[in-house]
Amino acid sequence: MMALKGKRVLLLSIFLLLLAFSLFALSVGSAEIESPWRYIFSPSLTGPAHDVIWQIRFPRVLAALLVGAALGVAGALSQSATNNPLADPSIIGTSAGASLGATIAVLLNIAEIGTLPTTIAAVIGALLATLLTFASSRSALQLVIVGIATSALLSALVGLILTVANRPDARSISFWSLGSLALVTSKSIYLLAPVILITSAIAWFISQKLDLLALGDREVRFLGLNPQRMRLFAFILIAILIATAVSTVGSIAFLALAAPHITRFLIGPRNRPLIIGSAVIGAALLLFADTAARTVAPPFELPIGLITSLIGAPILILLLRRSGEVWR
Amino acid sequence: MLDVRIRVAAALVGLLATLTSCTSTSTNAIEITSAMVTSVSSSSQETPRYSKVIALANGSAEIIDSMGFKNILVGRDIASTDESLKSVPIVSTGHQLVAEKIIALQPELVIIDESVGPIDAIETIRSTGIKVELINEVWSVGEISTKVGAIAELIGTPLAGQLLADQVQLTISESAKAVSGSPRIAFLYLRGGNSIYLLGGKGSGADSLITALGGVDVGAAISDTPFSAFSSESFANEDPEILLVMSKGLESVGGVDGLITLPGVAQTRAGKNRAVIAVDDSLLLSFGPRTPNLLAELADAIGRVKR
Amino acid sequence: MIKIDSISLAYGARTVMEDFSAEISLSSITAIVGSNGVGKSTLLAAIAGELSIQSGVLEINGRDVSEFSDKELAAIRSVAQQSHSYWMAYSAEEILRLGNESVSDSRLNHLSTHLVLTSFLQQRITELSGGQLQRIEIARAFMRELPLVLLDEPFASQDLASQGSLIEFFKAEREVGRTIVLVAHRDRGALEWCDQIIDLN
Repeated sequence: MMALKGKRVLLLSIFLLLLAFSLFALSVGSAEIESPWRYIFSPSLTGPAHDVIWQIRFPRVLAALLVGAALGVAGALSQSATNNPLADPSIIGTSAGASLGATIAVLLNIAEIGTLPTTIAAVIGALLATLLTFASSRSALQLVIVGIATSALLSALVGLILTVANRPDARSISFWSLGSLALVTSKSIYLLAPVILITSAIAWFISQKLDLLALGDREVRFLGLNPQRMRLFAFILIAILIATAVSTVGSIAFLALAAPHITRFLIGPRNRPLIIGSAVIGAALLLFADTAARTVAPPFELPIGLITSLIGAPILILLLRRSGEVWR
Repeated sequence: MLDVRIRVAAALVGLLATLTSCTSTSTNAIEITSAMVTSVSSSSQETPRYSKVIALANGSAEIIDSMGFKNILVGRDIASTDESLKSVPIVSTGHQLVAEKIIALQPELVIIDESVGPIDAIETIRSTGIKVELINEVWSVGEISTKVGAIAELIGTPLAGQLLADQVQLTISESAKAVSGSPRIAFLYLRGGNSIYLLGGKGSGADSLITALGGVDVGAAISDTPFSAFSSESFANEDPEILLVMSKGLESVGGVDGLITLPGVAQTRAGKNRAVIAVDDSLLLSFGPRTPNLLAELADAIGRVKR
Repeated sequence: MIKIDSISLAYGARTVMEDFSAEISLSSITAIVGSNGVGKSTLLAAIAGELSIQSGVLEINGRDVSEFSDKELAAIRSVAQQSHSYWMAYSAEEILRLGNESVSDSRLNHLSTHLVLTSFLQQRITELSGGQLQRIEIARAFMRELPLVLLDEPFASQDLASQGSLIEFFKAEREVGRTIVLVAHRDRGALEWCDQIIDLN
């Protein structure tokens, strides 16, 4: 088991590598640009190369870091909160609730797709779905089961509403399952950055308490605490992170599940470092995947879900075989 | 013969009327919501060999209507949205047909193309003795006459088919005036603000329309697949002058204001000049009797949007 | 310290005991024995304040146990459960530290020595044997040095040598004022080190 100092060094190194890779990501892309570094280090230069780097690549790289971190943190929180390494943030209906919230808001003309009100509606929908699941379950196991049902129910509702209503703008919500960072602009960053950074910070603050859930609900109650309430708070944070991410870039496969696993393998399950590590690793995975999506087969853009699955799945399988920590 | 010339004159007058009724939004996008149908009366004096036909192939109902035989139609396809066909019911859900509904109408002939499904339903209909005939899909301006001929053949009115095909050709060559300057036009398939927009390439159908007008289809020049996802940077590099989209797609990204902020689009001339032409979804790729007048409207729109 | 006065206990719909009385004094070791299903763990749960009592009164230090809040209970008693499986690979030491961040290192070392934990303290909790895991659970219950410690079958997975060190440890804790109540499955004869044996049969 790695000593504390070793873990800190490891995380720091990964973080520095991530920064370096971000700069690299700014310099590559399907548009051939001579001397991209000139444009990167002098943002005041104008021209088509400047536009490509600062209007197209820069928001995209930032979004990859932010959304990747959000998914990593959400994944870590859901696995710790349910004491289940196979849990995924959408497991209790957050994504489905987000879609339903946004769909209703758009149909009632309260919000337009891609704007802040839609994200707020998505967050409210995700929160309500979370509360619905929590109200109907009393243990971590029940959460998972009821959550699957809630997810199915809400997704069906969304599908039904979209079929009946003849609104192309609302129907674009059905494409949220095909996530992509290709449409990110600086406007999206103004929304993503504060929400994700603040929510992740709060998650870090409560993370130590979440460790207690590993002792089992009965022991947590013997300690005078309320395990379901702790879980609920974690899932509120998860709902905010997921709804914000999904309403801006759609849903992206595998990251929320894989990032905490990789982090746990490297530095162990304690939640304080796990939250930070999952954020860094989630950001790294998504940045890598997105950069690959837009540079591997120019001029085409590959679907990002495909790449995250291609990267995430084998890593996950490898980790499970080597650590064997899950199957007892 | 006289009939035909009067028809052409009427069509051109109608065309003028339609042009002036084109809606132009205050945000400078040009919307084409409808196009006049090119048609012939039943001057061929043929009688179709069937009296109850369900036309499900893309645009087949409006072709039969344009030959003057609307009375034999008991069901139509979703693309034939012209006003005159409002009384003929739609008997499918999108491209999926419902076998019971069709059998209940007791048609003598059902016309389908490769886009109609599912196969089981088609087999079920066949097994009840109803004739189901397949015609090929058409994705180019040049093949419209072929489609007309195939349908005419099926219902036993070859002369009417010939008349309509000639009429269509005539109207196309008159309306598809070459637009000056070989404008670079990109056809975008929009799916809302969160999913990647697709660029129309070779075989999208729009390439045929654009080429017929003398423009350059930006996507078709690079991509052999009908629709593909281009990275925003590459699209910005292509720098089209005009964007061609479908109306529902444009709505899904929040209108012209939403479209021109999309990465890739924002960096192009088309995006900066708000040069957007939006066409009604069922009209753009119908490749039928409305296409000739659509081409005229497109030529006009291109002229107006190039400032 | 604990006064049980004519209590009836139910576990679900099943009445487990009726009109049961007992007293447990401060600074003592009490063993609750009996055959399977007779209600040993149920009684322990009632003393822990987890299970509500159908009739009668159970008092801790003169106060009805049902009047304590969860936090107040957590401040006076700790519980070592029978078994618990871990999914997450915390180290045994990390598990000891959960909820016990303010406990001194010397206390942790003391427990580690006397409960024979040192050899596997840094190992993952998911890799420990049943006996090792149980000793960790027992150690957790003694970390915060609370006046009352309840143990459900602490000897269940222990070999003879470990049992010996456990008994010595319990006796030492009694000397410093701890009140220990444990559930056991053993012959009465081998429990002579306990101050009181409550036989539920």
